Amino acid sequence: MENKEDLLKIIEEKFTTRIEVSDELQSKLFKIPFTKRKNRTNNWLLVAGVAVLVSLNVLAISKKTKTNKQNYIIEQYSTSASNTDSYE
Amino acid sequence: MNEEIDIAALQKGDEKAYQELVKVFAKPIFNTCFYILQNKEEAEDVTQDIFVSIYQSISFFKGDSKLSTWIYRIAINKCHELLRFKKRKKRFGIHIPIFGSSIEIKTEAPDEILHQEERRKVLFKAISKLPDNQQIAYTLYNMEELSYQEIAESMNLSLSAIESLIFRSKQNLRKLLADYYKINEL
Repeated sequence: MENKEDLLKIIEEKFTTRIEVSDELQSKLFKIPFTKRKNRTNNWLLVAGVAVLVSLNVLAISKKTKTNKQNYIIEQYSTSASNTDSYE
Repeated sequence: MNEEIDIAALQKGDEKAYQELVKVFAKPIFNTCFYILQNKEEAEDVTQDIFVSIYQSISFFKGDSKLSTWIYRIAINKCHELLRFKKRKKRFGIHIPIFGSSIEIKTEAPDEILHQEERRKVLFKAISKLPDNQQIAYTLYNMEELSYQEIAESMNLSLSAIESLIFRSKQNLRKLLADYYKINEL
């Protein structure tokens, strides 16, 4: 075992050694812009998909309401027409 | 370091400028994280996180400080977050280290890297026992990548606060190493 003074000396020593960055990490770091752009594209696609679904639903509902209204009017008209026929 | 990077191009999302940034800063940032966290895998993960943050927030860099200082600030914050998280985990008993094991570097241990096996291990054990701020300030100071002023700017502290942090860290290390020496002498 080294003596106490030697042990305390290392507090003043600098960390001079540097480790090389692995190729794997380096390539991961290089790919960050592509990954981020891909994520952003995916997010936009998701948002667009949701918007299409919502607008399809809105269209379907409005079409259904319109048809129901038309059917109701036709029904009312035919009822009132048949009533008029019976008076005659 | 900054002179080699075209900040304007970087802010416009230029890939070449970004690759240049990685070439210049990957090694110093990875080494800083490695020395602070004392774990290679964690240092790699944090380095990736740091570069994601740099890429996402480079448009907010106004040039008030040097680019390197700004990058080191992000790196230090990330390392600080992880250190805090690890300490919280320990406190709540999710991870209970056996005496001294939390300080060991898992992969390429500093003994391999720094060629002074036993002494370096002991020093790294002691460093990890320091409060977070002292640990970071002492590591940055000893790595010699940043000046006192840059360390102060990176840590968002005053120059005198950094001086006192480094002074106290050395005092604490002396105590910790003396205790270690006493235990091992007995």
